[in-house]
Amino acid sequence: MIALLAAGLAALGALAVVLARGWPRGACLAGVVALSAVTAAVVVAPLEAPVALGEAYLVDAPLTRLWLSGMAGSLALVVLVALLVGPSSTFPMVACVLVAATGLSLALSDPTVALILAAGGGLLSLAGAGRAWEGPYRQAAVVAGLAVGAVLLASLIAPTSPALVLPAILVVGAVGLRVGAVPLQVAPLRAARTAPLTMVPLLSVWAPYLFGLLAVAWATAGPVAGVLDTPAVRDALAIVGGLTVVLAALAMLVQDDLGALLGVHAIGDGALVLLALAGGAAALPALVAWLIVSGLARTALAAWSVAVASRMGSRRIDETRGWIRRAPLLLPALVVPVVAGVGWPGSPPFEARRLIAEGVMPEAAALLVTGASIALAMGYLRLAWSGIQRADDASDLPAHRARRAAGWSAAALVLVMGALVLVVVVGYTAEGFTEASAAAAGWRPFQAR
Amino acid sequence: MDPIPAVAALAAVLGAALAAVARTRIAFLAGVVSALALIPLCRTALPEATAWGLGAVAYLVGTLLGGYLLWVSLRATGPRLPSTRTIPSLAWLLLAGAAVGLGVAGWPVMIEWLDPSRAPGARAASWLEAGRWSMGAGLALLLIGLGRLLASAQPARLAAGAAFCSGAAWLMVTGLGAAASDVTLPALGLVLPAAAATAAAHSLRPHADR
Repeated sequence: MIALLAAGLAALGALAVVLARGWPRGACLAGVVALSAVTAAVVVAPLEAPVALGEAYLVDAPLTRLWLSGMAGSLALVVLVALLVGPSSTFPMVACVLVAATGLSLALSDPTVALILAAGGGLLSLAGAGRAWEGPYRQAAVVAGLAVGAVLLASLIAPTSPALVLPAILVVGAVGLRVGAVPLQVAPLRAARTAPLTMVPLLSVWAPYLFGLLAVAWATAGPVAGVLDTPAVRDALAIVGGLTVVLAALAMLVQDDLGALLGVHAIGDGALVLLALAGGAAALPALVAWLIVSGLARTALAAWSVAVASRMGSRRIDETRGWIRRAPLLLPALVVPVVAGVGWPGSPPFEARRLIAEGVMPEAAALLVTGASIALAMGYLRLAWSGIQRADDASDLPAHRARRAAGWSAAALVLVMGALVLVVVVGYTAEGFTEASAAAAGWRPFQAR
Repeated sequence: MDPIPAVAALAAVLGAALAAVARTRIAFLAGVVSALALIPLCRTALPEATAWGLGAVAYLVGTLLGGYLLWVSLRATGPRLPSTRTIPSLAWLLLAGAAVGLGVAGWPVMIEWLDPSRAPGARAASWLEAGRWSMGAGLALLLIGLGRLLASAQPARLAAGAAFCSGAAWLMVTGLGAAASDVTLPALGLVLPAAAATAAAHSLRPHADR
């Protein structure tokens, strides 16, 4: 039973991290062991028959395996990077809890419970946010309530009733709040700017993506699917989602902080959830493929940011001048996940975005949105420019041998993470490997049994 | 007609009101826990099924765990909480009282809007009908959660606001007749611990961002 196994191992890991919280290195080690164990377990364990849990079921699916292995594996590597350059106990603990919540929510057949768990996990991930945590917390706080209201209310209303608009509004509002769609982007961005860099993949990527995926899975197959399929609603969702992607692409060019850069990119990528809501069930396989690639690429870039910030002594982009000279291994470690995440014409991430956008808007607009989604990566040009400039003397600190070795090891790990994203992207096309679309096509999370 | 749901709903409203105006740590905690603990009782004909009983117990455990975490998050502030202004608090309480009345009286109208075939039964329902009080208590919890708690700058109040919002949604939709499954209750019981753990993490550590 993949989900239970993952949740159990991750919960044990969280407990171990809590017990070792006074010793950050030990806490990180416990986190690495737990997350690696989760990854290994979900890859190796066989898919089994559904298990009853009260009136609900826990259902194994290839998608659960794919999502959990990607998420837990990449987070294990980030914890390892953090262990090398700046250990903390909050990150591994929150990562373990989020992995446990993810395993259960992906496998549960009851949409209310799955969405509450996903929303609760998102709320808990804000434990690692920085001083600007209150804004996103307020946004995340109402998401669980909106989800409960939407799912249970929809079950009450006759399928043809106009009252179905109400649960549709609630679920769209919950998704908008969670992914930080325009105009709700301010608080999540502020949190990404002030949170420790290691926390950004949890706050801005995996937690909102999980909720978005489950909400789309419910909304596009459940009672409100008809409402979301009406032209007015589709257009409104397409406009908000498309506008968010375009504005995020512009905002990427002016960010001066590594955390903010990651946060804006995650919002731009996450906005495709709104387009998928408008696109209906047909967009779900593409959304799954896209969210997994985006999650892995954002996580690899977060690990890269941690390594650069540690080497250069600052997370402000202007103060990382000359990072290529100081840490050359970090150049391929930046390029590989950016390229793999953006994709190229014909590659799964590229085609997934094109399919999602073309499903809800005219061809020209879809081209603009897909282009803007690719242009999100232009923000990293500034990083590259900063890297090729002459390094400040301040960053040329004489480093102890052990510290230098840790820096090189962290850079190598980040490169491995980038390569993993590329392997997953290429593997989408290989039969019997990742096959996200096939996994998503067979994913019926909230089907009555 | 069974008076338990109405009494439980009133207890939830009074608890929420206490949490909104509390000036001491103990009063705040008592308010939050009493507002949330009795929510499973706000429904007609409590099922005999063991699964539902286990769900309700798990929910109660979650609420108590959340209460403990709220207590931990309030350690830094001491026994007295940062005070809130009296007049806006009273105004919100009046509004919450009005919401209870509106929910109890307007319940049949909502039922009719959602499903006209249930309207005659709803109009003929007694004043002690569980759905009426569940709807009223849900509206009051939502108003207090959004208006007084989530608007606050204090971590523990924010955490309570998060739990009140999901509790309010559950009360309102089950009051309108939605049949939430057994496992919904334990999941709902995880919201307060998650919210309170986040609040505790921020209360206990200095804001030195890395």
